[in-house]
This record gives sequence, structure tokens and C-alpha cells, in this order.
Amino acid sequence: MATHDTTEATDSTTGPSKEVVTWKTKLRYFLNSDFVRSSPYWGIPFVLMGIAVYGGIGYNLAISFTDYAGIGRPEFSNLSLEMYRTALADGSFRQAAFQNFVLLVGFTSVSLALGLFLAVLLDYGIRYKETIQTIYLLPMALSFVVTAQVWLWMYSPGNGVLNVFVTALGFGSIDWLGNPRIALAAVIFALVWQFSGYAMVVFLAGLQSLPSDQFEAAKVDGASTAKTYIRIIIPQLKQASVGAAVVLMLFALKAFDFLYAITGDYRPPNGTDILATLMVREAFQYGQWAYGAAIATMLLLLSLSVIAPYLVYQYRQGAL
Amino acid sequence: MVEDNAPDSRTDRDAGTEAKSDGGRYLSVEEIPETAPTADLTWQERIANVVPSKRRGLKYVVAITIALLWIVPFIGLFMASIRPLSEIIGGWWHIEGMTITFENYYQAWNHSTAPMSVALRNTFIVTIPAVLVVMLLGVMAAYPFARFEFPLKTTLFFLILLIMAAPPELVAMGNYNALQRFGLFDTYMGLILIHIGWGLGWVVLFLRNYLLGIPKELEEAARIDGASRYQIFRTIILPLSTPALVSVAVIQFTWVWNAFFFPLVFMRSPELYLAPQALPLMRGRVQVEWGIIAAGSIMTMAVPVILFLLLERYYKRGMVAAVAD
Repeated sequence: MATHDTTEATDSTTGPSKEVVTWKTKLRYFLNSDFVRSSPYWGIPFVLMGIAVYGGIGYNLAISFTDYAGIGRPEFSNLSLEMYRTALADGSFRQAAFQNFVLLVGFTSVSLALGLFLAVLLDYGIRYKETIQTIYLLPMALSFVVTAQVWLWMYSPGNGVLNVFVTALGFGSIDWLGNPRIALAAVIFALVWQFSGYAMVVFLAGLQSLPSDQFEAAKVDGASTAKTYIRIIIPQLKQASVGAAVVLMLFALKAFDFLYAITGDYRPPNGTDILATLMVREAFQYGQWAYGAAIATMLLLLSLSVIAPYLVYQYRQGAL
Repeated sequence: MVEDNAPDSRTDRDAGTEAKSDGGRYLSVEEIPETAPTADLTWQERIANVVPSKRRGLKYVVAITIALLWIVPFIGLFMASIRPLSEIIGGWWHIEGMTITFENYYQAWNHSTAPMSVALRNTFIVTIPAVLVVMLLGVMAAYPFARFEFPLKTTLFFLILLIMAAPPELVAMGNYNALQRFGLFDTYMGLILIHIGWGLGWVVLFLRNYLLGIPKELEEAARIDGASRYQIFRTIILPLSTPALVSVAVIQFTWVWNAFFFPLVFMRSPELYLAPQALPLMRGRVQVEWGIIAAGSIMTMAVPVILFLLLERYYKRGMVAAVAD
């Protein structure tokens, strides 16, 4: 039978013939392995990913150490951390980083909480479950740009639905996206509308994979439904919630589209500037490529600090 | 009575050991499990069971209220799109004297700066190849990770995983530069290639996990019969991974169709604009043209939403598989 891989191949030669395996034999087996012989197939996607993603990241990293301003060719003879220093000293960068952090944490925690609530509600047995689930999940199929138009319409100071509620309650009309102190909360709410269905689906899958006898055992012991969920069921969703949190954070890091589409310009509403919008503005509006690259690198670090612990944890668990 | 309940107690049928002349279809009285339904309820009891208790009622009220809240933005958008601007400016929820018109759709379709007719066609031109090629290349790249041993496998796998964490802004300048150099800037070819390279990360990850679940024995049997790797791939792996490929197709379609950042950076000619790019341009200069924006939004979201509704099962499976092993 043909061998599966290199390890099997070398094993079968050392076994019966007791021949010392030289690196040449190993190389020959490796070159004859299915992996190498099928390289024309996996080679194309690997090269494409390499260029589109790692080429891009490498280029970004390289020019972040220069003072390239988008004209001519970048000068690599004089590398420094100047751009990073400038960014860290810049007030608008620090504000964007802070707002990015608030967006990340606020959006993720609210989406998780709402998703968990909806999942428990639906799991508890309800008719038309599928329809309700579809409604919660539907906004995920929308483009950030469409979501932005929808919520511009909802938040509109003159004729938005939300202000009707607010004025009906006896308050003055609120300019949700125009007031820098609440604009970020308004943005977070719109994103929660779009993505909490995701958390719900993940939690629901987690809930449905739990054996139902736990629930019954708790009932026999006289625990109330709420208590059963809080004490027994929800703690078992840890794995699902960590996974959902990571994906939600990655969604939040891609909120650039939404913020751009609200104003139709590189500058989002006051008080909602995040690292991504700042970076794109610097690089593609003002032509400060090196500065933009430095901001993008720091955005990657932020993103990695989110996903790396999760990946390491998954790897240790052998789940990868 | 026993006969009536037979289908319900079918699961307990196998418990009985002695041979049954009727093929085990009916149970003797002693065999009826405790869980079997009891005698028919009276009408009063039936009605009491159907009318929700206060707690059950509350549950429905909460679930339906949230569902309504979730759907209000869609209703608002739809109402704005089918009514003239003068009617919606005072609030689209006033439905007395409502005029239904498709003028907004017509205007959005033939918009002077950003015609949706062109933008939607352009979006199709980009999305369809980007999805089909990602499916094929994705399964080709995932197969080695699922089946072969090779040096640096774990490292490479981690490098692919990290693509998911990379913000698109990070690769924008590098790709801008590369596309300029290859003469692909401001062309669909360039945009499609970027979408493919970018999408492959999660697709490879997802398909690898799926392929690991296909038993190796199937392939080994085929190998003994003399099938080549290529034949195995084509006749066993591809057909068996169809459900996963459908998930990939739906999710990738939604992402590429909805993508805004890459078109913004790489497509500069107005006649090449994609639908998400064209949408913010419809706002109008003097007055915000809510009706036209709403009609344009509905046109932009129609295709991915219909796809989602048709293939929701696959969509959910793909989304959940991204986090659950």
C-alpha cells in the first residue's frame, strides 16, 4: 500500500531491513510523499494567501519604521521607531485607542449577555422558535454600510423612531450620533443589533449539546428554573462564550465600514474615532503611509492580544 | 386505548423480550411504560393546557417584544423606501393617507452619481468568482492539513489562524502597492484576488476541521483499489464535503458582497463602484434623500438576505463551527 506520509515511510524502511536511514533517503521519501507531489494543488492557495496577507503585513511592518509619505519609493536606509513614538504622544491617537477599547469591551460584553439571554429564552421551549431565531440572526447578513443607513434613519434627530420614544417620555429630542458623549454608545447599540444573534446561535448550540438529565436532576432536587440555569447550565457554556467573545471582538475590530458609512467620509462622528478610522484617514486621506502603518501595527497588536490567549488555550486543550 | 397509543410507546417496544405474534406492534397492559399517555383529557383540561400560564406568557411576551424591536429598523427602512419623501419626513409610522410608490426604487436604480443598476451588476461580477474560487482553493489547501504530515505543519497552521486576527487595514497599503505594481489596481481582477487571499484563512480552517471528521478508511479502501490521490480527492473528498462547501459559499458570499473597505481602497473609478460603495453616495446634497437611500439599501441587502433565508442552516453551521471545535 502506498504510504500516507513521511513518518510512515521512514518507519517502514527502518523496520525490516535495519538499514540506517540517511538524510538522503529521508529526502527522497519526502520528495516522493503525497504532500510534495500534490504541491501544485495546495501551492496556489498558499502563494495567494502569502502575497495577499503576509506580503501586506510585511510591507506594513516595514514601512512603519520609515518616514514614507506615499510618494516615490520608501527609504529603508534610516529605520526608526519614530512613527510609533509620534503616535503614542499624539492625543488623537490615544483617544482613538481608548474609544477602540471601549467599543471592543462594550460591544462584546453586551452582545454576549444579550445572546445568552436570548439563547436561554429560546432553549426553554418556545413555539415559533425558528422564526424568532431567524429574526435575531437576520441583521448579520447585512453589510455594515446598510446597517449604517438603517441606524442613521433610526437615530435621525428629526424623524427617527428613537426620538419619538424619547419625546413621548417627556425628554427633549436627542441627536444620538451628533453628541460626542453618547455617539459611541449609539454605535455600540447598532452593532449589538447586528451581531448579538451570533452569540445567541453559539450559545444555543452549546445549550443543546448539554445532556438534558442534568436539568431534570436539578428539578428533582427542587431547584427553580432560574437557579438551575445560573448554577448548572451557564457555567458549562464557558467554552462557547470564550469562542463567541473572540469572534465578536474580531467583528468589532472591523467596525471601520460602519463608521465610515455613517458620515460618508473618512472622519466618523465626533467621539467615535477608533484606530482603524484614524489609520485609514492618515494613510489614504493625508498620505501619511508610514504613520498609518504604525497605527495599523498597533491595531494588530490589540487584535492579537484578544485572539492569542484563546488560540494558546485551544492548542493546549488539543482542540486545534 | 392501548392501540391508540402504540406509536408513542414505540421506543419502549424493544424492551420486551418474548417473541410477539403481532411483530411487537402492540403492548400488553402490564408493558405500558409509565410515560405513556393516559386517557384522553377532558375539554376543560385541554383548554387549560393551551392557554399559557402567566410564566409562559411572560416568556412569549419577552421573546416577541425583542423580535419586534429587532425588526423595527427593517420596517422603517421598507416604509421609507415605498413612500414619497414628504410623507416620511414627519415620521414613517404615520400610516393614514399612505401613498405607495416605487419612485424611490426607480430613482435609486437610475441614480445620476451612483446608479444601483450598475453597482449591483459590478458586485455580482466581483462576488461570484471570489466565492467559487475560494471554495475550490480552500478545499485544496485544507486537504494537506487534514491528511498529510509535513514539516512546519503546526507553524503554518498558526500563520493561517492569525489571518483571522489581522484587521483588513493592516494589509491595505501592501496590497495597494502590489496591485499598482502588477497593473491590477482599480480592476476587478485585483479586488477578486485580494478577496480570495483574505477569505482563504477562515475557509481553510473551517474545511480542515470538517475534513478531519471524514473517516480515513474511506480513502484507504479507495487506495487499495488503485485510486490515485487526485481521484480520491475528486470522487470521495469533494462530494463528501459538499455541506461544508455550501456553508463556505454562503458566508463568503455575504462577506464579499458586503465588503466595503477593500473596494473603497482598491476601486477608484466611479463607474466600477460596487453596491456598498455606491450606497453612501446617494445621500443627496441639499436634503437627505431618505427614500432613495432606503431603496438603495434594500437593493443592496436583497441578495445576501435571500441567500441567508434560503440557506440559513448552512450559514449557522458555518458560524458556529468557527468557534466550536
